[in-house]
Amino acid sequence: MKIWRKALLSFMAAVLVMGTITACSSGSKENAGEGSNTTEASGKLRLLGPSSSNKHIRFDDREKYPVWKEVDKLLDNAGLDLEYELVPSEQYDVVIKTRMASGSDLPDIVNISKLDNTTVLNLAKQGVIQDLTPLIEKYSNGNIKKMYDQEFPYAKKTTTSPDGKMYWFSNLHKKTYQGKDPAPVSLTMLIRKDWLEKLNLPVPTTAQEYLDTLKKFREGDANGNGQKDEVLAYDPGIFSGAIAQWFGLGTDITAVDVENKKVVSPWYQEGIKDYFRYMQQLVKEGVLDTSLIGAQGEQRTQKMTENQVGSLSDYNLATYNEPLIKGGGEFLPLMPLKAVDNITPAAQLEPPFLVWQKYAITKDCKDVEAAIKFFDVIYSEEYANLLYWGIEGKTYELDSNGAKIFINTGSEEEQAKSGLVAGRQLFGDTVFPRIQFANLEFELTSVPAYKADNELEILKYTPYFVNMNNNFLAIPNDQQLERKTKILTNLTTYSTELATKLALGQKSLDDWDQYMTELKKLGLDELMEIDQQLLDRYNSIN
Amino acid sequence: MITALKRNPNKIRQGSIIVDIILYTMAIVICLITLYPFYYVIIMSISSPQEVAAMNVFLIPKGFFLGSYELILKDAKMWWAYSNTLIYVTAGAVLNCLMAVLGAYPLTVKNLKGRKWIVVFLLIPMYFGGGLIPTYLLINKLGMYNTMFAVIIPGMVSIWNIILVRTFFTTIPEGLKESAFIDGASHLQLLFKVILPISKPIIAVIAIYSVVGIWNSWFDALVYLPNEKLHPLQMYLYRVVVQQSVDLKTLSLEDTRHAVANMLSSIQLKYAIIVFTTLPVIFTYPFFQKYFIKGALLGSLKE
Repeated sequence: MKIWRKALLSFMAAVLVMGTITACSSGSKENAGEGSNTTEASGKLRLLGPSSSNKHIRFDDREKYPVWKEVDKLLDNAGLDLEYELVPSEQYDVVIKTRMASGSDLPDIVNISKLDNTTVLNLAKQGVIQDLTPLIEKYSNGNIKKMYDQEFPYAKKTTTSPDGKMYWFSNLHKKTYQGKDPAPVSLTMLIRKDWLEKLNLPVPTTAQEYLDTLKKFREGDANGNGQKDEVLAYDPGIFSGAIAQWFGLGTDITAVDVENKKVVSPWYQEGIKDYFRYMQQLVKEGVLDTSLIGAQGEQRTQKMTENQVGSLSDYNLATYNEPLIKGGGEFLPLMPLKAVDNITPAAQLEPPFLVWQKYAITKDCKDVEAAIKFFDVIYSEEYANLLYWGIEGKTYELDSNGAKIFINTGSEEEQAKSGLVAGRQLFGDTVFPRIQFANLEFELTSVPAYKADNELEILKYTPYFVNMNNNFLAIPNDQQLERKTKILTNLTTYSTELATKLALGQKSLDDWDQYMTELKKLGLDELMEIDQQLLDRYNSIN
Repeated sequence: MITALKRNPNKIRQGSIIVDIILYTMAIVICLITLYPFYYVIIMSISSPQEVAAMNVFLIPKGFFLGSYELILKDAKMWWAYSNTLIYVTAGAVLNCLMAVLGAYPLTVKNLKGRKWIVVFLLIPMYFGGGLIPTYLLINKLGMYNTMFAVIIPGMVSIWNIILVRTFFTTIPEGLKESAFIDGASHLQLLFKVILPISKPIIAVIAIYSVVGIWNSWFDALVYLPNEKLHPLQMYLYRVVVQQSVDLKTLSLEDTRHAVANMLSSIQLKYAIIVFTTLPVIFTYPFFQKYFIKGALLGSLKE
């Protein structure tokens, strides 16, 4: 027995010693690897990002795509040798969070879009990601500056952090018409065009007519199934449905009035009571489908499929709703409708300039010069053209006015076979930022004339509110963010509940002052103040 | 004994039809509630896609369409994931059993010094884990990140299993062990030649628990395996489900178009994949049922 025990003990001791030795050796090997990185400046970079979930066009097969060959040439010319690590996009969220939090063994360039601003700024504080401004000054050939300063001047406004530094590069997008005019698309009320024609009804031009039309849809059994089930899909709990803007209301609890450089809240705006009175009417007439309030997309899709949705709030150029409808149908986008005498109805626009996604250079990047060179390639016009439009004659062509128009190269499956795709389909949003010079001309060719007409009419329409308010606010500092988060948690819930109940008539408009007191108590005024500061800072950044 | 029973008859008369009816109805209702979700998934996976998108299917399949299954069967990724799962399950189950046996045996040796402390030491990590980031750092430093080992090795030792096996080992008569020693057997010989052959029930229980557990697990793969070629089947399912639940309200017009197209193609796919990934493991249940019951009873009796 004793011998056995001794043997066991000595074996365990041996295991322990072996364990320590192997652990040490693996550690030293790693260090050696890092050391060798510092000495070489071969343009070698490791990049980490999500892969697209497209089943046919896959980044792994990139070599067979002509557009990749062109991009590869640009990268080669810059002397870059890139190694990609692409993680399935559904998994990327978790992977990037654990890897950045652990702060070890990081790639050189990383897509950190899944991290919110606070997390990213904390990483910056810990030195996990690098401040880009001095690097750009030192190493850039001027491409980055040109894009950020001249082509997309608003980009800096939303990506400059409160300490004045810039920690990430972004996707940049602008859509223009006739080469110069910014071209926003709108979020508006869509109404069934084929039902209007079937029941011989005119297109409504005021809010009251709109309500009457929806009533007539029900009475006239527009979908012909013998039931009064034609509905309006609209969520009165939030203000981002387009009807709210008919009453001059902002698009969220706090919203940006871009033209007047002011932060407003629908709760303080003139048309708010009339808006709820109108909602109550819609509910009373049975037009507004109350089962869809606060519902998920799936439920709305269900009603849509069953041919019951007579009207809904969506993009004016959306073409993805029609194919859902059983038996087919057409949606006509409406212009903002007059609802109250002294209020000009506003439009809700998606800004023609978008800045989104984050791409950072990490502390483990030794060859920062190469990293900046990479972004110099990205922010070049050639790359932007390859990314959004692809190759002339293959994926796009010029129309008689010289505007770029995509060539229809078939379904994704066919595109994967022929290799005729634009860059964004193959590598956009991975570790390759999307720099897009889109135009409205092509959009207009791909929608029916009645949608195109609406778009051209909305281009110059004022007043308007935007659907992405945060695009016009600078990044908040720690205190501002903490206050905002704290206020929004309770305020959003209360506001949504209150708005829903007022619309459903479960709460009376007579107790208005009481609601306002409660909203103020929950911090509405402070939130507006913070957002106003952020908007002011946004406008002050050049 | 018999007279005692007669004096204290049950309050409910044996053979009462009403009580039987009530009990059976309750049992049937519970059965239906348990089985309906499975049934629902199956009928959704074979109904026509329009009816599925409209969420019209409740009791019987509407239309008949096997296209989703065709899509899955044609998907090379799915077969990769399937073979990976088989590797994880086989390796995991074998190693789990081995580790449980090797871990449990010393704890049954009476003259092992500090046995109590070792048991306490084992119990601590049952209640407290290191947390995600420290575990991630460890896996990364050990060079297991993005390799199959990251999923297999950390799951190899389960304290719960060790305790189950130990409990079983303590029920083996001491005399059996002593006679083996008298015949000159070493500890290893005793364990593998005497104890293991009579411990098949507990090994079976652990093997089944591991198989089911590993078959259904995806979280480790989510964190440690960014390479999709290493993903197990459940991770494949996870990805299809996540892909579908995009919040459209936060997207721009262009991205909304892509998301809608993606969503529609995968509404039914989700159900078909659930059926496809769950069926094999459901089919093993009837065969191993007796072991499951044994496993549930283990440790419930104290000597």
